[in-house]
Amino acid sequence: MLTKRQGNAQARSSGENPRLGRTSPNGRHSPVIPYPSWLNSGDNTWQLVAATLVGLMSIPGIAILYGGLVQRKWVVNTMLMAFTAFAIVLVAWVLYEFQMSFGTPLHLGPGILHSAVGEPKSILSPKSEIGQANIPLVSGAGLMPAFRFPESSLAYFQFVFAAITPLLFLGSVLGRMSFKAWMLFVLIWSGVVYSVNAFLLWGGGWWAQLGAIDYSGGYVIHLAAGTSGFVAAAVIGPRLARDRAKAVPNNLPMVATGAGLLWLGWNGFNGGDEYFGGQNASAAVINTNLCTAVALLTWLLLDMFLSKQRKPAFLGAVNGMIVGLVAITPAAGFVSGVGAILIGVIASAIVWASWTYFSRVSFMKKVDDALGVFHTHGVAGLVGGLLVGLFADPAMAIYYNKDGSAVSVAGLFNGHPKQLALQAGAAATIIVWDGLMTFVILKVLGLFMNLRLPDEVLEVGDVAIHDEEGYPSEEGLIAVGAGSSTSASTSAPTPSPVAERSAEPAAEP
Amino acid sequence: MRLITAVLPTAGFERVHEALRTLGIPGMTVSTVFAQGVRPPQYEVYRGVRRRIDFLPAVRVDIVAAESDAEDVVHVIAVAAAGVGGAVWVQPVERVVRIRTGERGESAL
Repeated sequence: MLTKRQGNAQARSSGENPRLGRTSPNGRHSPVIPYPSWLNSGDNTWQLVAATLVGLMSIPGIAILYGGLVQRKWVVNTMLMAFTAFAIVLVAWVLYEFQMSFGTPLHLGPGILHSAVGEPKSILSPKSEIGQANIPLVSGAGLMPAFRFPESSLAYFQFVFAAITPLLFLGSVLGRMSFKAWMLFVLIWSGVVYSVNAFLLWGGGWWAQLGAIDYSGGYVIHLAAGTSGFVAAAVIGPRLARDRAKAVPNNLPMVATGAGLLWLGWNGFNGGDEYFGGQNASAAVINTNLCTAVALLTWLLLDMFLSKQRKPAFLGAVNGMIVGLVAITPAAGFVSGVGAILIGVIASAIVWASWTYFSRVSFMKKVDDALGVFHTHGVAGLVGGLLVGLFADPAMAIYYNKDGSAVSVAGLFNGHPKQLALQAGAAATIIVWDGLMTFVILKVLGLFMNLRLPDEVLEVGDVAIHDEEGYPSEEGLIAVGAGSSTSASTSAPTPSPVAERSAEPAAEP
Repeated sequence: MRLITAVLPTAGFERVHEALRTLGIPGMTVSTVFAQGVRPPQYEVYRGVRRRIDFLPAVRVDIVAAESDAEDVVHVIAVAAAGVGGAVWVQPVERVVRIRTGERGESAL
């Protein structure tokens, strides 16, 4: 087959309009083709759908999940931080981060430094956008089949992962972090920290070469978010004592919506990481849901029979759900259904204990990890990443060799104890690097700006920071500034009908 | 008997509540209201339109107390809310009936 460009060239040279070529009366095949022969529309479609599902997990998923979990006065701040981080990461991603995470390695020294990060380059050229996707050290090295979709599909799919990571640790620092500091921190963190995480495990970096595995980001994303969130919370300082004591959620139905988007969005999160719409993607999706269901039920039963109040709690179930999703993430396509169920039970029980007991240790109490990201993402990601070292099943083929044998991974219970050691080593690297760099970045930023907002601002929350609040009241509302009801009819700077309509009541006496 | 009404900023209510509990007030009615004058007006901007919010959320506390206790209750509220502002006023109450027991007057309090 021809590439599109060649096809057009041929159509032109034969003196035909390519559009007419399709209906040419002599019945010849159209000289125009939709896409090059390396592209498979099914694989490409699935990759774009999966990427969109993961994007929906961030916005609105995480934005409203966290927005619903915080106090009424923090809704706007929380949601805006989430949307802003998503935008910041995309711009940085196409300018340099994608190539730092998945490009050609930057040889900085011996050992791990030889392949820890890629060369920063942009992916804005036509060739980068419509050319065939390639990860030099993975697909380029023959460790997986050649991609059947363009670079832009891969870049967008990987972007939504890069974007959700800062959104996850937003849960640790919300309710006191300065908005400006957040914008800079996200920008720097995702370049310095996330790129290295991704390169080491997914871009064919040092740990990937040794054989450490992370199907969809148990380490790269969740352990990273848990570690960085915890360190950031410690460096920035706690919320107001009153806010910590009165940290009641403002909208549980919104939490339910966000949590639901997370669960179903995870079909793309784990289902897209085979990079093909193949058998392993299907297995990863059902394993993900299975582990999640088991983890949710485990947490619920622990709440019902072991917790102080002995009652099933909705927010407990949401925690269990998130733990299940996170714990299966490093394992989704490497384990069988039995492995998925076991990971669900074990991870949920461990994180439940960590949430209930370890959080009471005085050291843990000192750090104000607002939404407990340390437990539900950090601990869950670590547990999942270690358990894949036990349960990885060599019969779970990710790809096939030419002779029909499976390309797969075996864990300790399948006669490969080294896998567990590799998983532990990769986890330690992520914890040390992410913890250390988060500390350094925030300390440096702290030299130039206040990371934590002053107490007077924290007392008021959204209105003080954004001049907006989550649930504004109409009582006593008088439009006084630009576009107010008096001037709106003649020269409205904001001609939006919504703004005008909402300004109307103020005009009434 | 006296009806004591206090309108307080939301942030100040906790301390007043705690102080009244210490004093031993048997019951009170609390409602969330919108009040002007309790806090300075607040400005919010939606879609380019700047708005002044005169009526801000506040807590209204209603307590019926014996005439002899009324002054103490007012004093406790005023002291507890000293740092945050608000207002307290007292009115005479003609009749009180405790519905469950049928008691009337001060014994119904």
